Amino acid sequence: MSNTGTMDHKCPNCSAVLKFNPHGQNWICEYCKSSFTKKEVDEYEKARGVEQLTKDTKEAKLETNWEGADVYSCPNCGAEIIADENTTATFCVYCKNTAILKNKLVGAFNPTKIIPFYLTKEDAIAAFKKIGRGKPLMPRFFNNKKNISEIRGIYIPFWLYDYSMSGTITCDANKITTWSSGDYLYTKTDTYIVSRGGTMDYNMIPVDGSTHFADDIMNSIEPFDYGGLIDFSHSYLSGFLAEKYDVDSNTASTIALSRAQNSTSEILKSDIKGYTSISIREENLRPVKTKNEYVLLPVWLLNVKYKDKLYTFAMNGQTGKIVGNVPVDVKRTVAFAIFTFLAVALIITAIWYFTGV
Amino acid sequence: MKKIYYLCFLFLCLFLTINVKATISVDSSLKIYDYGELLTEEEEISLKEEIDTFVNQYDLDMVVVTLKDYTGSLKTYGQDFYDYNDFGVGKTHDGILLVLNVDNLGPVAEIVTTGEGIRMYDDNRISGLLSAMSSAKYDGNRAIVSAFISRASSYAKSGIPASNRDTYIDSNGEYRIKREYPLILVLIASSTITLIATLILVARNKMVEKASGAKEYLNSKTVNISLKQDNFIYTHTTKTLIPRDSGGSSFGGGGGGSSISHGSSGISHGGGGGRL
Repeated sequence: MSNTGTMDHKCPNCSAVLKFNPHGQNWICEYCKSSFTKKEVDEYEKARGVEQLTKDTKEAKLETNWEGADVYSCPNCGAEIIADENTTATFCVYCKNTAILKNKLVGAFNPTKIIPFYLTKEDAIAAFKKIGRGKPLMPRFFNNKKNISEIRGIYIPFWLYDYSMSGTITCDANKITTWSSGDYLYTKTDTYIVSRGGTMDYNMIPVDGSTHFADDIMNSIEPFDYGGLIDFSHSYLSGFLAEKYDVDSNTASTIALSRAQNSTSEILKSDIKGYTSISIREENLRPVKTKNEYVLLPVWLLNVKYKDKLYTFAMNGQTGKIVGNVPVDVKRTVAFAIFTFLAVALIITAIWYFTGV
Repeated sequence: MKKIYYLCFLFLCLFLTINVKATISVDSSLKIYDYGELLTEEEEISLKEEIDTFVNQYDLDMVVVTLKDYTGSLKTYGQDFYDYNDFGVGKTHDGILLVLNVDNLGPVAEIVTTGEGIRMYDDNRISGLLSAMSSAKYDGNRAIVSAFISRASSYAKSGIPASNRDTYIDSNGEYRIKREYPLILVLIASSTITLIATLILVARNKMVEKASGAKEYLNSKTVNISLKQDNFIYTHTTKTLIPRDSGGSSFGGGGGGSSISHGSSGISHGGGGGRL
């Protein structure tokens, strides 16, 4: 086992593989149906020397390297597990055993916190089936379960940034008043230069740390409830996939800072009241204090194949917010447009006929 | 108390007498009612012939009433005289009536039109009729009436004036303006609303959007706006001429359809009048 570079969590009763149970926030053995708390799992793992295993795996990790992918041995059946350099938790394709590539979660790649999965695969499927609500232009059978070609629970690496922002904005502002006198309409424009400045703090702005996932999808499943952040433990990865970051902190910070700057500018601008028009002439927005943290956040990813086209949906594994672009059914759209056109024309005609307007 | 009842009864009798006097029942075939004795018998006969010719040719009735030193409203008198007697052609009582009153200042004319008569004689033509009568006033009362019949015939011969082409008289005799179906407006409004509604629904299918702000992560208790400066720089004022609607019409001008009033019977009437 020391040569595999992989690890899993064993049932203290029967030594079968344990899996994390999102609904119960505990670990269950699918073989003997036992369940264990975090404390029980940690104590058992410590007793069987997992700490020592970590040291061994560091040396064994790159024993085999195959065209940019690392090759591991499944601790359960001995089959080869191929994972790319960013994968930190995966499955054996033969026995479906969880393989946590712990050697990739050390040093700078060791997350400080994690939000465990609170929702299951079944919850994600149920959420996808409800995705048609309020979307009458969605193709009729798009949200059918059979269209889901792949569903994966993944811990996605995120950087969380705290910023204390300080800044000023300077705007050109106009007050316009109009009045009439005699045959003339008068328009008076008073021009001002308006400045607003101040400070404000932002806490835990998330930036997706993996290039494998589209930033807009990851933005759209926000927000996570950070009250659910707990100290990182490998135990939570059981039964899920996980990635390590490949976007470094400096690169990710530019995205978070840009979001903080935009909101700071907006908040300062919203304090300018009583003007007809406002346009920003100059802004100086800078962070005076920053802090970042590397965490893993739970996401269910669904690949949906519909009419030979692939659609990606993501569900926040903690809150259940599901996002993705739903295709538009052309026939339904045309029918809706015709119906709306005729209904509106009929209503206008009725108003014209009965009221004389 | 009895005195009060008696007084009320007297007022009621007086009111009914006046009303009966205003709506005197007549033989509607006579067409000329010379209560003011402004015409001789021969004149009445010749004018009656002219009126009969008019009625036969144009499917419009024509009535002439003369009064002497009448002090009330000629318009009300004319409308009630027409409405409470059996005048007019067809269900909508189409026709035209002239009330000619002569007092110490000279002749005063009031023209009342009903049904299709309202459409035939728009404000412009009423003005033309008054003008024709005014020109004939020095030739005597017969000439005034004759000028009225002649000009009315001339107008009827030329048909409905352009100003009343888009009007009609409904089954109740009401003068109505034909309304054209606002096809272009309906098409534009329906298309615009359809486009907006469709775009809203299409946008609902797009659930993925890149975040540009971070307001959800703002600690609102830490917001401290310490700098607030509003510096006045300059002012300027512009003035523009308010466009005024130059349209509108007064009596006798413009030809903008027919002016309408309702008699005590509730029937619509056109027409107009004045001192000749």
